[in-house]
Amino acid sequence: MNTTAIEVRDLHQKYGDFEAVRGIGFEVGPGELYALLGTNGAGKTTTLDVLEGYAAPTSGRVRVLGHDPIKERAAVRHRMGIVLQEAGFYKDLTVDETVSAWRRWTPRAQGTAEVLERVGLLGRREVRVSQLSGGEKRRLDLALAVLGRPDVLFLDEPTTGLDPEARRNVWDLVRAMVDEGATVLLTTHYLDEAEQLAHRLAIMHSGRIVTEGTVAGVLGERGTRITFRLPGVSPSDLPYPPGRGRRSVRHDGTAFTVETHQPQQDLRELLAWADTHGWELDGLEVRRPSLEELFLEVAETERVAA
Amino acid sequence: MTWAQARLNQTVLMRQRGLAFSVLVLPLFLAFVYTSGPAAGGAVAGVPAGVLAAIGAMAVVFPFSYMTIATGVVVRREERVYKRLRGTALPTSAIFAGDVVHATLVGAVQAAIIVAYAIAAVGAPAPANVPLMLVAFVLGAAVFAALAVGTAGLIPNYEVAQLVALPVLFLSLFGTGMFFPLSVLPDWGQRVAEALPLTPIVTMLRVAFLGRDVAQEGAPEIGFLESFQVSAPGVGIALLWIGVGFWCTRKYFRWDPRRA
Repeated sequence: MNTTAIEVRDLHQKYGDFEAVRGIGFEVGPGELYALLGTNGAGKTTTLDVLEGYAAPTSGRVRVLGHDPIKERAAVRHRMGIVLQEAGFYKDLTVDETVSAWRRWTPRAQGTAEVLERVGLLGRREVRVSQLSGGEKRRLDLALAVLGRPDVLFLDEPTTGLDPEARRNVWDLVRAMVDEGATVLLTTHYLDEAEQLAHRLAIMHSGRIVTEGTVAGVLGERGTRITFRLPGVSPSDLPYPPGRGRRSVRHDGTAFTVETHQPQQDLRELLAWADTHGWELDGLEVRRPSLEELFLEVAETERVAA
Repeated sequence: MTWAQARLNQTVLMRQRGLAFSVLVLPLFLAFVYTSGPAAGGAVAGVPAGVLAAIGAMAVVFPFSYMTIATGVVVRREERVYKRLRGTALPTSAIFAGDVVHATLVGAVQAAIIVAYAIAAVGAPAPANVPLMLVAFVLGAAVFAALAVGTAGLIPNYEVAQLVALPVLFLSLFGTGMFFPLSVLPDWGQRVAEALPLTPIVTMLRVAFLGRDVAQEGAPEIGFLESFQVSAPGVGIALLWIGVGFWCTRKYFRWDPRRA
């Protein structure tokens, strides 16, 4: 029995002179939802292309359910479901015709009505694909991907470009698949998406995994940011004596950023301090680091360490 | 699974009315026009010109298969339908085969209609050598399918695919002896025409139907085996073109959009 559903070891992927993936490795256990985060060009889609069997790795090893996705395609193909970042439909077919056509070559396929019900497209089954909205097309993508009850589901930015409601619908569907035992590998730009769905995640940046772990673990390493503008004070005026707690203060002119692991306490002290002086903290914001900040930071740490 | 793909292609084709018209009706229309025109007057070696034209007109289905397959491949590639299909349990060979089988079946039905028309309305004889006729049809379909898949890799989009299909059609209509004898061409033109992919197919079809060696002066009658013998060089030329198609496919075919 396999103990890993997806295995990637020392994967390198080159297109001509450009190395899109530069030596990454991770494993995803059965029933786990693993998220690959990163901006455009981080190497997420390239990694998926290799796992899905579209491209052979330049070097390294990938296995899906214990099989080489290219050399043993027949053994594993029907057990995978794929949502590509961008893929066409036969746009003159109706939703129903599309699913019915796919059912003809999908082993152990769900019924057309059953799968359309799942993705909430049952009411649109007679509509031509070309007339579906972006969110509806995404749901049809998902319907085709889950049609054969796959053991492994690859989702490449499944919610990019969707409105909030459509995103939540997709999330519900993905959760349901995981509840039924599917292993899911998801790529996304959005930190909140990974937080909502993933058991574990990796952050990719320029072809490398810069950090990996559970969602709480990865985010826990980073502090919460308190930002505000306040003229006429210097960092040493703030109510935070140096050396107390895990905190850093940066300022640029009148803009201050306090990064802290005790946001509640630090905020209370900051507000009390401002109140006693009768100051207004302009543009006050408390937030967790954005994905962009997160891996720029990680990349910076890496560069310094190297 | 190939059948499922071929069937799907037909459904999709029927939804695009303009394309469906050119693919399904236009070849029949062309065959009809050319066999009923004024050229149908004179006789060649005792065979009425109209009969010769009607038999050759069967071959009109092949350049149309070329158009169907080449545009189909280009559109599905550029719209990333192929990428989606390759992510399913459908074997890659079935995707290919489905496209080719569909165009070939359409061509077979059209060819059958043209043959029926030639026999019933133009007075063509029943084919003298049915196996040779089938060999000619299969070779013709294979040549144009191989060339379509082979050249599709060089065609960037649907518009260009349509443009490329035109000269293929014109060369096939006017450079292969289909609608007028090659002897009206200058000497060099005849040499070129004889090397075109459709010329040997048209000749083989005529040999098969009439049981005569139409390449010879006076088109003498020949026997069953002799029909195959005189067709051997034509088979050679067809195989050569199939080879060219396969070579181009290996070199230029791609599943992913060219714009990617």
